Amino acid sequence: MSPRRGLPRRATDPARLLPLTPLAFSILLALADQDLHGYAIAQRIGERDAGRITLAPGNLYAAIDRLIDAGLVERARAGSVSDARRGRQYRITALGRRTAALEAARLRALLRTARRLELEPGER
Amino acid sequence: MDGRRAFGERLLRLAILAHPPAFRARYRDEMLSYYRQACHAGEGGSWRTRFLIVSVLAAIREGWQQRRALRERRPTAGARGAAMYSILGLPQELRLAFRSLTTQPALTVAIVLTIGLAVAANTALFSVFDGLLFRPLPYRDAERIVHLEIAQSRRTATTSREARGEAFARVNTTSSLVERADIRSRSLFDRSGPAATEWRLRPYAFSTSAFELLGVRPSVGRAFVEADATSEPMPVLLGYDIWMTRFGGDPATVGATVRIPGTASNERYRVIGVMPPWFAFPGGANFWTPIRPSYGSADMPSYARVAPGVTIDALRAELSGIAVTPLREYVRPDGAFALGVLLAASGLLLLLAWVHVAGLVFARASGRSAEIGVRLAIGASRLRLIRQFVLEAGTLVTIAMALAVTLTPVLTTLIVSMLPPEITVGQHVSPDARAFGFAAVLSAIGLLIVALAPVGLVRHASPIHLLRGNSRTGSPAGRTRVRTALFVGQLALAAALVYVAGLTLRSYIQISDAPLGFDARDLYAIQVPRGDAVIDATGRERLDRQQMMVAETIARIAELPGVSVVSGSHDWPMEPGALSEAVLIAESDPARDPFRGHSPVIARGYPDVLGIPLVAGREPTAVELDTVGSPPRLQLALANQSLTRHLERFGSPVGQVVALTSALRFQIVGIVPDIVLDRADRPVEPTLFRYLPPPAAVGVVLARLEPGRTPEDVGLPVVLERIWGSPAPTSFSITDAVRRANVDYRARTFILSLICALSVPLTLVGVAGALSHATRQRTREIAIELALGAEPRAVRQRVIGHAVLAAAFAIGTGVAAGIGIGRLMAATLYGVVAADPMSIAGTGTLMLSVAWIAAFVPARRASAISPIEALRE
Repeated sequence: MSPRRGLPRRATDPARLLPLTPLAFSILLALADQDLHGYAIAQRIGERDAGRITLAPGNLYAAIDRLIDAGLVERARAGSVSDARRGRQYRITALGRRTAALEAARLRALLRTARRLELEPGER
Repeated sequence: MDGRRAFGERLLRLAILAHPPAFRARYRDEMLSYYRQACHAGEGGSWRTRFLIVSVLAAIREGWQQRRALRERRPTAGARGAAMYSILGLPQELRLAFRSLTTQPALTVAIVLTIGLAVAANTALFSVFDGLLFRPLPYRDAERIVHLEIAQSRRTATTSREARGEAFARVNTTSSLVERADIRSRSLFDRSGPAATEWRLRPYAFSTSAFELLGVRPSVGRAFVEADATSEPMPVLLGYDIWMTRFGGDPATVGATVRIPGTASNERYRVIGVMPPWFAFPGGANFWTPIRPSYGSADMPSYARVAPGVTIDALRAELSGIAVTPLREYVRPDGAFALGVLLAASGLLLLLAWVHVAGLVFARASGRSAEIGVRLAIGASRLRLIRQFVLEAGTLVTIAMALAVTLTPVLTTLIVSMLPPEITVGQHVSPDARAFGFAAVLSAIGLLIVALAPVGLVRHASPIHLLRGNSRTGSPAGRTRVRTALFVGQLALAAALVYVAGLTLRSYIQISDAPLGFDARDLYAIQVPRGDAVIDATGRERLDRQQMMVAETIARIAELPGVSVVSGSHDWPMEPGALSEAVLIAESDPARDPFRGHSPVIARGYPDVLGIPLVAGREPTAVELDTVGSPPRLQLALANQSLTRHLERFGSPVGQVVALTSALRFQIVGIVPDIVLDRADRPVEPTLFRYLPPPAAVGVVLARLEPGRTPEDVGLPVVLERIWGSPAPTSFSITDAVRRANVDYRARTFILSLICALSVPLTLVGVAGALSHATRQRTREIAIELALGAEPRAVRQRVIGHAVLAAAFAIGTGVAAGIGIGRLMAATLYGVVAADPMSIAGTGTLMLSVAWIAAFVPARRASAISPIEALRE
């Protein structure tokens, strides 16, 4: 296959991909336990907002595209495209999992620092 | 609700176009489906509106960022050259083409100017040609309109009056004609007054039915109605140009009464409308008045519409003795052939331009052989390279076409303004869609030529040869042949053009210098105002006043110091179209055969003022003229020598009687030499100079001043103003009138000289380029010669010698073609033959000099080649 237009090489070292944008991290979290199509991803991300969608399609798919390019997400294998109307399903890759875990650890470290500085809202 | 969602989706679809194509292909359907689901689940119209706005903005922002990221990551290194060529889209290729054009700005400008000017000149000439000859006339059912006039046949003059009456009756009663209209040329103004000279009014009188016959309505206001024939002040329709230039296009002009200085009708006119911009019927008219009852009736309608189903031939048979001319033929010019020659000449120029440009592009592509070699070596496909050349050529041609489109209307106006009015009779000429279509075809052909020139080079190129810089190995024989053909072709075409222009120029010089038989220098004419503009009286009394004032004008001018002779006539010498045909009959001829001639009206002293001697007989004395009385009594006249030759067969010419009609008979009292009174390129016909018996007044006063004096100098304006009041008639020089009479020669000469002025520098550059290129190709060969001891001087001479030899051959061919063209246009030449030795010599000298100059620079470069360096390369 010819190289895809204007994309960065796939990184094998997940540490090089950090930090993730909040949206990218949310997408990885949404895909963590099951394959989902675009709309369901957005629904999961917006769960706290009573299931309302606030994410614009352009933002979502641009983010998914970047994640695919980086090798963190892939399209689900043929056969699982059950509902053509809803669109394709996406699946997190092993690299994606490791990256998400690293991002979580990074956030945890940040959170610890915040706590030490008494900035965490829960401890006020 | 559904409608709103559909609208939102359409808007989003548009916004998604902001994303790069690859992204769109992958995600568009998903994005739309996502949007639909969100809208379906979401609640409330305001939320949906917000969501739509957010989605659209997000698509645009993300799309823009993605595109920017793409641009930054695009590979540019040579290692990925092949990939680059396949990735670059059309915009990038265009940018590349632009960049390669700007690296050689001089060449690009040369090509653009060449093509632009040549296409503009051709389109302009085509517009004129098309407008005058081929375009349908813009009148209602124009093919059924005919022009009618009494046929000029061998009728005897004595019966013509009855014949006319009978002819009018037939025209007015025949059922083969359904509409009739009269259009007359009506001299309303002094031909030298402000209305004619400053306003440039060309008036025509229309019967009230004429506009209806033509099917033309005024753009503003209304056409004539019956009541206009008698209403005061005189109603008038203005030409669009007059309205714009003189009244600033003010709508309030219509309905207003305007003063126009130098016109009749007490200078006051009521404007009732403005004609459309294209309407100038007949003959460039721009001022239309109704035909007044006082103009005299019983005239035959001059235009009519043929009833449906009646053929022109049937009508002609029915109206024998009347010349029936379809309007189309009547307004289509005799000068069409001359226009055709010009169009052909400009076509030649265009061909020359394209050949020249093809040469330049070819040379340019040859010069880029190293670049082509590199590209081929790193894997660019030949198709890709050819595409690049075509794109470059296309860019050049597009810029040139933009230039041409800008220039065409200007050139068209220029050409039309230079054409004599007889040629553009009643037709408005402007570039239209057809002309630009013509230009488009021309440029498509050119694009093909220009683009194909380097294609052969690329097709046969091999990277190794090209990189070695020795492109001769490409296809030497073929390339040299192409080059030689281009070289010879350019010179031959240019030589043919220069030759034809030379012929035209020579013929213009000849006609300007043509002996007129009289001395036009120091001769001035004053046109006497006519009608009620000056004299406030009617009928007989007005006539008397007019005669008195003219007599006084002649007497007063004669008294002025610095004025040598004063006389008069009805028309001034060389007045365009003034000399009308007459049918003459010699009464001493037993057969009474009528013959064609002219019969201008003159006053006593006419030969004197023109500076012509009387060959025989004498002028009548004032007393003799006084006692002649009015027709039908025998009148007095002078004969020119052509008339004398006709009369000599019946005895001594002096004393013979020549008749115009049974009531208008003239006795010849003197003989004058043949003089030219309208056009030098027509033979002088038998002319009867009729003396106007006093007290009738002439229309033009002629005054000969002493050499070197001017009318102002001798006080002519003062005298005229004292007699005629203000505005006084002005005097003008007959030398100017002579120059104006040759306007068609001047127009042809001008246009051809213009074409030549374009083609000679073009050829110079083209030939110099071709020779430079040829020399560069032979660098190695020349270097070996020099290394073997050849003199640089000899090398130089040989290069020039070869060029001049080829040029001589090309010029010979070109001149031969020029002579052929000259034969074809013999009718428009005066005083020169098609094979004119002077033009041949001139063309030869000019073109050989061009070839020599063009060869000089490359020759010097050749002789300056350093053998060591040239051979080491």
